[in-house]
Amino acid sequence: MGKFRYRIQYRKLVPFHLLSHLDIYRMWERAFRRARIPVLYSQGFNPRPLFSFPFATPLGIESKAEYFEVFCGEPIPPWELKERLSSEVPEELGIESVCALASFDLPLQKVIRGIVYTFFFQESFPLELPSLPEGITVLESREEIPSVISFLFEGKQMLWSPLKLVSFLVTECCWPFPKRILKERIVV
Amino acid sequence: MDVEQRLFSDLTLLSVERPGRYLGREWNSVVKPDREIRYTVALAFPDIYEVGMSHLGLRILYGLLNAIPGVQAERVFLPWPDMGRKLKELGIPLFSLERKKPVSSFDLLGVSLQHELSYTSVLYLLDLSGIPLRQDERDERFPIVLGGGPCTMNPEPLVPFFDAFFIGEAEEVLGDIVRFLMEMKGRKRETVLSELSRFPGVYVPSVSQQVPIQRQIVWDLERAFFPRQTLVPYVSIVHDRVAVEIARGCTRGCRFCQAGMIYRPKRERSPEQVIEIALKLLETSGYEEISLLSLSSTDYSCIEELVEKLSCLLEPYRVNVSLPSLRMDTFSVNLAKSLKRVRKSTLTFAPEAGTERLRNVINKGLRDEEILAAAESAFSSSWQEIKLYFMIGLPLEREEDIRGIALTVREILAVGKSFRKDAKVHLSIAAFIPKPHTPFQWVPQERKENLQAKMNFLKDLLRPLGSSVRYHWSSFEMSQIEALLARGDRKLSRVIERVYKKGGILENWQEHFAFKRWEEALGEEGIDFASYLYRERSFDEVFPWEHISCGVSKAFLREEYERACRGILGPPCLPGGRCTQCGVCKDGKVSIPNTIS
Repeated sequence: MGKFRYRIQYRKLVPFHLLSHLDIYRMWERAFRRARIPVLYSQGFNPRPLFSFPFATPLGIESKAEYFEVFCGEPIPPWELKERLSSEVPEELGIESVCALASFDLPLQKVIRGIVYTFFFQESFPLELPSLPEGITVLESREEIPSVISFLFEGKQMLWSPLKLVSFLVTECCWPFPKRILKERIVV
Repeated sequence: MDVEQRLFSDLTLLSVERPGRYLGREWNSVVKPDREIRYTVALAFPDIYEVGMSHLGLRILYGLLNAIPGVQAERVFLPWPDMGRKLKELGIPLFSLERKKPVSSFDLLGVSLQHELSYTSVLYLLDLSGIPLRQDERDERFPIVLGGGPCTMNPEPLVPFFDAFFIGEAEEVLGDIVRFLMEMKGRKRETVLSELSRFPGVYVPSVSQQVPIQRQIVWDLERAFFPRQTLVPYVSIVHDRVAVEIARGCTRGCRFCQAGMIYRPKRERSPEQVIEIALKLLETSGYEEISLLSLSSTDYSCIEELVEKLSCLLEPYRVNVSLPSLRMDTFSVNLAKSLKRVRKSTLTFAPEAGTERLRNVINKGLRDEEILAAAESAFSSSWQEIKLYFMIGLPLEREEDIRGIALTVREILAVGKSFRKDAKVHLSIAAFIPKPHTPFQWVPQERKENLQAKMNFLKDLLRPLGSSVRYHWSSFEMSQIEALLARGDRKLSRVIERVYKKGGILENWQEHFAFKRWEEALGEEGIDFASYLYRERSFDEVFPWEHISCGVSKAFLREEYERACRGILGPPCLPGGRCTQCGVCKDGKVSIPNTIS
């Protein structure tokens, strides 16, 4: 049997940011079954679909850049995969793109260089930039006195939860707690 | 700002445990456009999401009511205390999952009464919703509060809090009731309740009615409503699988078992329909497991053929079939083989008592060799562990019966170890609780000190078996209160209210239960706990639940109790064959299909 590999990019927007990584995994497993897509399963006493999620986005974080890879038993055009899956999930968890991968394509974990998170605060406040932990830089702030700030997480810090940065900013630098956090994009 | 904006659009709920359970928006949830809604029903389950969503009855009613044009039915569960505090702090009343509407704004509030220890949670539900607790304090601004479920077989302790109770199976009558209420919308509350009391199976305490109220029975399961799509939760729930009811009622008549009495007669759904429903539910849900539900699955006429056929059909999709607790005298290697095609789910058996003698007293009627044969079928089919349910504190129990539990477990393990060295038994011990409408409704509840002593004795006996046996037991303090409320009367409503005011909520969770609150409340009301629990009732006593009839006659229950005292089995219930004369089947209108094509 053939093995056909796809990378799927999807959203995780309000209110589904309140779901955990495991909830999302289960949702995709069931969506694939509803869409009757012949996904390949692991062997063993508890067969699970061959999904691979490179990162677990923590509960609470909205995202426009969620990814996973999946192995199918038959070739399916990426546009068709996108269409069939999209009708099985809510709009806010919808698919951004699907691309077919070759066997030599490296998994996302190997090519990713950084993740951009945007923090939204209740109000603007005078920005006093603290010295951030290594690997995290302020990418942009759109206003002079900003209420929206983006951070780039690189290297080992990619494994950091943005909530860890929040607790650093709140305790070390007296920043207010953000209202929302959005995983904006990944950098490859 | 609406609830959606205030709670679900930012990091506000990051501080509560598992916020996903308050989210709604599940696949197959029903939200009709506002202009199509004429009558709203809140289907409330007085426990948290994970428990309430695991209840099949709620899903059936959700489908049944939402299929009626003009009716919007929505689910309501209780928040975990952290979320309960958050709602109070933010001044947000309890809301439904579908449209996040306040519970108090619904036309009808249906409350599922599955368990006695949820009674204080019912008050929590009303309170969080801003609905006055007592029926006589509510006017037209508030929904009609209707109770349903097995606890309505003795609704007395809850009477002051409810407008009405529906007794029995809802599929045939509830649709008509709701359609009628939709027409009566806007009328005076007394008028509505008085009209409502004319429906069969509806008990309205504030209206004088002809008693007893008869439990409603769906005679033909095949033609009863069963949903063809089911809600798919995001957070994992207790029973996270598709459930299809293959039969209702049980022919065995175990004397401790209330379900075995109040769901008579046994009716089956045809295997063809079970398969049709199963495939449709799986297609529309994408679930990875399906459970075939009934009180005693292996008593289904062609269970082996059904499980094998369904397992084969579902194997390519990696969907497995599971069964709830099984009888050991009908479990076979064939069934074990079918059940493990995709993935092995837990195998649970309920011998209930440790010796044949006591199993005859309770009318379980299971022989030692049948128990060992079932264990052999399971372990030889490569299960590593089986789960066993036993009860302690049963009527006429002796020391040898407790020894019998340990002995049975030891023998089962010996069988298991002959197949694999790591064979294990998971033992679950519960206290027997006398329930209304059963042959044991006359017997005293065992004191908690004695239950504890019996449990300690059993633990000593299990110790030599080491880590091959895992065991847990129910809280004996909780079972005392469950027993108190099960055979309780209207006076206990004041105790329930006091316990709630002392902070008693979600009390069927051991971590939230406090015996002390009940002791205090009983003392304050001057009620003697012992007279409800430890008293042997006489045969001429009139019980508080006699205005509710489940169809089984008191004379039959008494005969069964007398047979129990003599240690003899009752005749099995065989519709169309030998009849036990329990009183339920008046003209034998029961459908039992028994072939598979």
